[in-house]
Amino acid sequence: MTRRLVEGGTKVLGPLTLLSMGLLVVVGLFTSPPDVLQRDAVRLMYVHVPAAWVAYLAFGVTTLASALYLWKRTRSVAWDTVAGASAELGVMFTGLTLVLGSLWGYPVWGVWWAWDARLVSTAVLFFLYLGYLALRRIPADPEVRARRCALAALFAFVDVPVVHFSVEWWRTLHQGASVFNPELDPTIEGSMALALLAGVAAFTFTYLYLLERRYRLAVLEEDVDERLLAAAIAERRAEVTGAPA
Amino acid sequence: MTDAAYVLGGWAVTAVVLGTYTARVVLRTRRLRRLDPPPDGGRVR
Repeated sequence: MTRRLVEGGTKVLGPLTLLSMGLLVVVGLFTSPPDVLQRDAVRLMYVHVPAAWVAYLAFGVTTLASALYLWKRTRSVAWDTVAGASAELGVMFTGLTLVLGSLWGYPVWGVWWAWDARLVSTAVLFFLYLGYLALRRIPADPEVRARRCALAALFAFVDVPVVHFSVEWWRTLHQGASVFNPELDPTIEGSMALALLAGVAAFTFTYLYLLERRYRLAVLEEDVDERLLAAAIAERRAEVTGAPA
Repeated sequence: MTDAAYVLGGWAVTAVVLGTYTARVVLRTRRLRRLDPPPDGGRVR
């Protein structure tokens, strides 16, 4: 059942990801107008903001999967695998957010980097989850490793609301919310909002597609490791007893 | 540099990062399947 659902999801998600990415290129680079103040540099918003949103989503999924692993009633190695796969994607999208933010920052702010609350907390988020991925690679008993990593994931997620609300809690160079901001006047222009929405949809589909592929790969890696280990043990036993493996 | 250069640079970085990651995952999956094909073709838990 799960397998059929996942395979069906992949068949739909692959073309959906390609289509939405194509739409994003058209509306983000061609049909949406340049901004009055930022000129064409505003087009970086259509990839920078979706990358940040998907990073939040990926770390949210990691946290949820980790919590489900820690809860005895739902404990399954599958949740640990989902957490690891999603965290890897989250790190990639956070890195992309930082690079795109820097590329957007230079023409608009005049600097590549500023010691600003939003930028620093995002960099901290990147390194926290990089540490989480490093923790997953430390050899240990699978159960011990999974529990240790689940706790680390819950701890690391504390930085996500700090990143999100940093522009409200501190005076920052980074702008505040543009879409869900009732005090913003004028609000974001229609075709720009559409391009941003297309970006969020395209990046979300990309994340879901890659999550499924990465999850499958992780399961395959575990299977191959188990088979190689079993073969090595059988070979060693055969050496000791003199019987064929 | 013009704004267009930063925009194209940013979009190109995005395409390269996402494309490289996707290719890496797909190729490693294929390589592992070829190396040691599981009896059920790769189970999904």
